[in-house]
Amino acid sequence: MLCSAHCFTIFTQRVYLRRQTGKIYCMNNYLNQLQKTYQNDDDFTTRQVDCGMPLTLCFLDSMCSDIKISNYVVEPLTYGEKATDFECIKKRLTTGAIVKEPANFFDVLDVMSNGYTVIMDEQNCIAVDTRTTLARAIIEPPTSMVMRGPREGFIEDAKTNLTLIRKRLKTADLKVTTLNVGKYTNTTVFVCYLSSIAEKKVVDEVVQQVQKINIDGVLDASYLSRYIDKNKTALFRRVGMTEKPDVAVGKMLEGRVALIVDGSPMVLTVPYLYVEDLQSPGDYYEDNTMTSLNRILRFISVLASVLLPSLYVCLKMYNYQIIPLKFLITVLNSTQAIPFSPLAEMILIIVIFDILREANLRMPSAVGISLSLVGAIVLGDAAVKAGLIGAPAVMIGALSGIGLFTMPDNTLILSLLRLVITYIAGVMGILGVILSMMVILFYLCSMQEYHTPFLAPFTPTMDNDKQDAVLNKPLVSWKKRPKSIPNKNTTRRGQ
Amino acid sequence: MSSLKRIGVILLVAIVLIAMSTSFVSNDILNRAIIIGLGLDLSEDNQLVVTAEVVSPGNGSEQVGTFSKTITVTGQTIAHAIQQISQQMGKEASLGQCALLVLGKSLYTKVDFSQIVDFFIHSYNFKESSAICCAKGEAKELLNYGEAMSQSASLAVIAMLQQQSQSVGLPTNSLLQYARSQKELSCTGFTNYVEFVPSANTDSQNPNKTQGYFAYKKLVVFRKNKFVCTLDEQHLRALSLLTEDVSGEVFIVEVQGEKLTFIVSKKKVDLKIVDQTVQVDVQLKCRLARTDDFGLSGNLTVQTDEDIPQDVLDKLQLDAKKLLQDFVAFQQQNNVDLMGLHERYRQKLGTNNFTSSFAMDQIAFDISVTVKQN
Amino acid sequence: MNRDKVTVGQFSLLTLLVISGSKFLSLPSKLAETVGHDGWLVLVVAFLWDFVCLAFLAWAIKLNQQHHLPLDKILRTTLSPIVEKAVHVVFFVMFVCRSVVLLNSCYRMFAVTFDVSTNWVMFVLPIVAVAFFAIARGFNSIARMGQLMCAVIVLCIVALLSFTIRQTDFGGIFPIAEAGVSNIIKATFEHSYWFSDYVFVYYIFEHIQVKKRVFTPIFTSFAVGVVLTVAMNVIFVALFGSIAPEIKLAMSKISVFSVAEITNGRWDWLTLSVWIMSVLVKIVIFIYCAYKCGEKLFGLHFSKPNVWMILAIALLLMLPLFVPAENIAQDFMDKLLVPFALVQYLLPISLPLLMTLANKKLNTGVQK
Repeated sequence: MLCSAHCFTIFTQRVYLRRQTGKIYCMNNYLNQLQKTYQNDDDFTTRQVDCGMPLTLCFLDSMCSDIKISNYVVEPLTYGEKATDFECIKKRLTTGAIVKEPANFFDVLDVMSNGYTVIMDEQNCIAVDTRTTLARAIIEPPTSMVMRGPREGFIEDAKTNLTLIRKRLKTADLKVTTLNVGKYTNTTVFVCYLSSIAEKKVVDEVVQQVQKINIDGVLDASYLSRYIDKNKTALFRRVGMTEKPDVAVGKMLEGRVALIVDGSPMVLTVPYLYVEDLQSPGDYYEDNTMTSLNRILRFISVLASVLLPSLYVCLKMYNYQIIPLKFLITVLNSTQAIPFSPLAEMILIIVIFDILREANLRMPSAVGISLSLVGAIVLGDAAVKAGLIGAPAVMIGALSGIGLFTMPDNTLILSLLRLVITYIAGVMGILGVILSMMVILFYLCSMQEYHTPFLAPFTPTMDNDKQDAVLNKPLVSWKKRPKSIPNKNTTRRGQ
Repeated sequence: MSSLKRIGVILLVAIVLIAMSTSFVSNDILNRAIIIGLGLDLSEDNQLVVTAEVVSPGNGSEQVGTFSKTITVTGQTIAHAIQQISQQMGKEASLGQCALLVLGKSLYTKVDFSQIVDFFIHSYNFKESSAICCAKGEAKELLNYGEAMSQSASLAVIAMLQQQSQSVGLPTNSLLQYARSQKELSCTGFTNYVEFVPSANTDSQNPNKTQGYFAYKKLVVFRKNKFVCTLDEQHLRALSLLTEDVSGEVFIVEVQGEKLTFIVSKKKVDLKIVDQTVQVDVQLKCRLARTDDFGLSGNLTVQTDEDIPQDVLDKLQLDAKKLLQDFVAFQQQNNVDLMGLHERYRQKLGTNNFTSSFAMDQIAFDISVTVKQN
Repeated sequence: MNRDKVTVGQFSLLTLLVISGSKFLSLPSKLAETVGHDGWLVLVVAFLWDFVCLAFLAWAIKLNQQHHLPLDKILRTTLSPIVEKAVHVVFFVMFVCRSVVLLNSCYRMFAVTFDVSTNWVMFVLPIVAVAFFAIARGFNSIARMGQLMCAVIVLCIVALLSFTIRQTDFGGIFPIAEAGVSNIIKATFEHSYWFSDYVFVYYIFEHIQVKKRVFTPIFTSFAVGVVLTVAMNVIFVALFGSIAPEIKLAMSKISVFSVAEITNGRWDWLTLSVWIMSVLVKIVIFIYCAYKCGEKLFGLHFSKPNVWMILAIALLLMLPLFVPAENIAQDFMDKLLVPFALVQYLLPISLPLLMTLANKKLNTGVQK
């Protein structure tokens, strides 16, 4: 409660100051304003220092490192030579690497909330970087493990994430635009791109889109991703998310723009193509034949996952003549005593599978394993034995559920789709399945953002881009950058 | 969205869902009587007796014993009889998996069954690629021999007529081929003839149980869906020799007091029409039969390393030629065209009075047979 | 972004899809009824004529790259507003009738092959809903979808036909032209409304964008479509011979022969259900064109898809509830054969000339 009241004060203060743009306050006023703003906030700390002239240090204790304040600010000021004027303090008596000069009170609040220590006398003010590093170690991201290839993953600290990218892109072409988003969180967003590759209009559109965001707080990159998606797409993800710096860099090299959001280990990339769902980080470090096979397998498994339950329902309810006779007899044998209709049976299985998946996700890992075992045994085997669900339906439901995980980012939406298509199949038969597929295809085909068609390179066809679509060509034969992503420099290799 | 609009949308969706659910008619497989074979006979009062072999699953996931049962109904027409099956079983009679049509002797020898053939040709759920055959006795009896063979009678016949026939020298006709033959210029075609041959009982627990197998040694010839005659085994062999995609005919030749069996592994049949003479050139490739030779046919068959002496080849050639000459004479005698000569003439001369009505004895045949070692 | 934008490549592939979309259903048996085993020759003659018209159309597309003129503007500028309206009326009737005939074939196909039994209303409404969705997303989505599915659909047709070839005796198509050349040409004219599937181009005319070539992609796709369609007809005639006229839905019966062992189930349904998408895409395209015709007839332009217009088209598609669809296909279309032939054949041939005139007039107007 106290915290929110405190935030509200800062916010109103900023709004007030914004209205007063251009008006210069004297530094005494700044101190008074700060004290007023941080009234009842014990985190706000001030200290008087004398280095030949009286100075006031202001900082937020929780955001700053004591050692850094001591080493970069207090020690030089107190042990160093006496200062003659404030310019001397700025140039000689602060040993911090980054020193900023806030232009107004709003800037002062900004830098302080980012962990800077503000040094002020009656007329001047500077801010020294004394941010504390509260970041976890760089580990392999759990969502994108690879057999071969780099194991570094992004963490929640934006600066570290930027470092991870710059470590791989040692070029002056890497440009970073810093933006702040969120009225209260004031989250730093780095918009990164390669100036010699990324198309300017795309970068500008992304920056504009981020600037347009009017939100209380950005707690994770996923908040931002919804705002970057211009069409507010209901189905399917339109913004790429990665936890791996190598993937982010790979995408930037193709002309995409990366957005690093402070506090999130996910880096966003735009524009985004549907084919990226088929790509796995490990693909680029394996043999291209294996990669192609894996991608085909992913594609088939996703297609089968979405369509298998509906086709099973169709076949049982309408198209019995399609099923091979011996399989038909097996199905008849195992479903004779089932009290539900094929549609109800399949929907029940899908829902049970989704419940298990959801529960498993939220359970601690140790319990999760036993839960999945119990779920599989109790709900699968026992239900079949009890005659509630048929064995073929359980098999198809489970196969479909597992298949979805080959495209982990879209599991939920695909699961919803298969539920809807299964229902339509139960009502309308194969006609329903065909019409549903057509609607989905029309929808996917019509999607286009940041000058990039979602289904490229399949439609519109871009032969060059198919080198990294389903059938992966050897890396050495990639000569041109993808045409589907707008870029300035089309040559990837050679002249 | 205003709450009124939202309620409207929800109502609309609900109405659409209800309308959809009630407008599309589905039928679960459990509510279907899935027929795998149909037998057609004629009762004494000229009613159609239809026997259907219907899938009858056991309980539980494992199937024990046969999975079918037969049901016999009487109707005035085939459609009426199929409706009777539905009524008796309380399930919709479904012919989508039916792949066999058996004509009983009482039906095919007595009446013109064009209407029945048309019924199946015009039915979309019934496949024209299904097998059609005639039973030695009643079709009902034949379909009930499943128990004796410990498998579905229909599936046993289908397996032979559709999957094995090409490698055992058995020419077959699907329903489509048969129906076409009855409507083309000669209006003549054949179906296979199936008879049950009892064998010794080997089941000690059921000593009274009938056991046996199906034999396919004859063909039945029809013209305009009326019975014409029955081809015996020799004629069947001859017709097989004239059918290019069938192989596996067997010739037995006595060489130096020993009986040797030769099998036709591939062949080329060339029919040329020169005015009113049909030149039949049959090139056979034979090999000494071994147990592993059955089922071997086609152009990619490996060459045998056992030499067949020329005199044996000559003997084989004579045998085959005699077989064909007898068959041609039989066709001329009975005026039946099983070689599709009317169609050949039509393809060459177009439809005219001659091509649509010539008699087989108006045609002269020049038969040549060449036998080579494979 | 222009939501109706279509590249020449996409238009070509759509042409391929619509050519092979409908001619595999009820047309082969109708042709077999009229000219016996020479049905495929009727197709060859019709396609030859289509080829000529398509060549003129391709030329017109190339000429139109400068000003991107829509058909209505060309007709209004060169002929008169009355002619323009008359052309739209003919096209509107044509698209509605062809949609009805296609829907009827589909209805029967689903009923007999896929066991989907429902009433006409509930069959048509979901398809119209899909068409409405496509209209809302723009013609570009249809074009892209065609591009995406084209290869798969062509593969399915090839699979269906190539498996069936093994059981077909092609001797059945001889002697060629037994029905007589005059009868074949007469049959071609009588069945002409089944052809010229590229007529949808008139309603996307101004949106077609040429990148490199015009003629090569269009004629390659057309040739593939023609080869597939003629091959299917040849197989149909050769396979069913004398009973071909009784096989009312060709593809439904042909596919049965693409299965090796019939007790192993009908795997042909997989290819069939993919192929039927091409028929549905064709229906969607025709409904789109009817919608655009409606817009142009009444001089309207909807920024958002208009529900009332689509409902009106849906109501017209309910015609078979009152008049048998077979009657619409035969009696009604027979009466309209001449106006249909005019827009199908005369319009494309004169289009390059009309376009040049329109361009001149417009340029003169600008200069004045």
